Amino acid sequence: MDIDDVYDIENVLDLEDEYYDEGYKEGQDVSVQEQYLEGMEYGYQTGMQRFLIVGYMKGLIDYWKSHLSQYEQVVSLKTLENHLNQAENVLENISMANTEDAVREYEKAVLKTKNKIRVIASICKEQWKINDIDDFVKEVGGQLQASENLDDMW
Amino acid sequence: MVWVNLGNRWSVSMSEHAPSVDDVWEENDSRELESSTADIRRIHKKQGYLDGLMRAKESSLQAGFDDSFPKGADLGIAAGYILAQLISHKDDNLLQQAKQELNISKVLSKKYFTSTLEIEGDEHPVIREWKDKVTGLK
Repeated sequence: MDIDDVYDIENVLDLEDEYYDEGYKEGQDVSVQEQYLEGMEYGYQTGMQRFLIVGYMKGLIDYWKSHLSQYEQVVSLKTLENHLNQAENVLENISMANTEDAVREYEKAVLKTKNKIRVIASICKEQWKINDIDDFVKEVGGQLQASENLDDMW
Repeated sequence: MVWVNLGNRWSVSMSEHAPSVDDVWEENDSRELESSTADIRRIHKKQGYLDGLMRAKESSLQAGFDDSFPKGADLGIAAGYILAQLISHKDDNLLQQAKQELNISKVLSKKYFTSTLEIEGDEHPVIREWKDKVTGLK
């Protein structure tokens, strides 16, 4: 192979890149509104499914906090309030963004709060509120299968 | 298309179903290609076009997902809160009714959303209705 052959090959490769880039830009400019809306459907579904349990735990905590006197006979109210405040603080700091950090923190926070809620329910002798918590969430939110066909829902 | 969560954020992947050049461009490529500039241009522009299209679609799906995820989370929090209040108040009749009406398939029914998938009005009507009911229990 002489120097002229190498020169020709380099020219061809440059042209290939140039044509590829030209096509790439055209492809990117095609309307993508349909895909954006499809993504929104999955986002609504997944967001609702993931945060049902967060709302459920918030609801339990609020009830306990506003009915503290009901539990005077079974637990020190100060202890109960401390547990409730700790659980509430964890829930309040959960981010609703779909970023890597937020999703990782969500997992930790939900697990931590669930454990705390189990302790509180046990202290209050109200385990029945949380015994079926996962089934309960599945019943209302369905299984987390975001790749399912959503035609029936949307 | 599949949504995946590999221990991090929810992301879309269309790569499994990405069409090849031959799927989209209906031409008979089995013939001998001439090493002409026109052929090189056609082949590489096609592949670039498809790659650009798939990339744009993926990023639009992801953008839509990211934008609505917090809105779905708000709905989930509200629905979960209502259910917890009902169970705490031991109102089994209302609880059973709420489980039906706050089911994800009902709350995310298209009738409550605009054509651009925003919730009609200030608040989701089913959520508002149930919030009022729960407030009445207190």
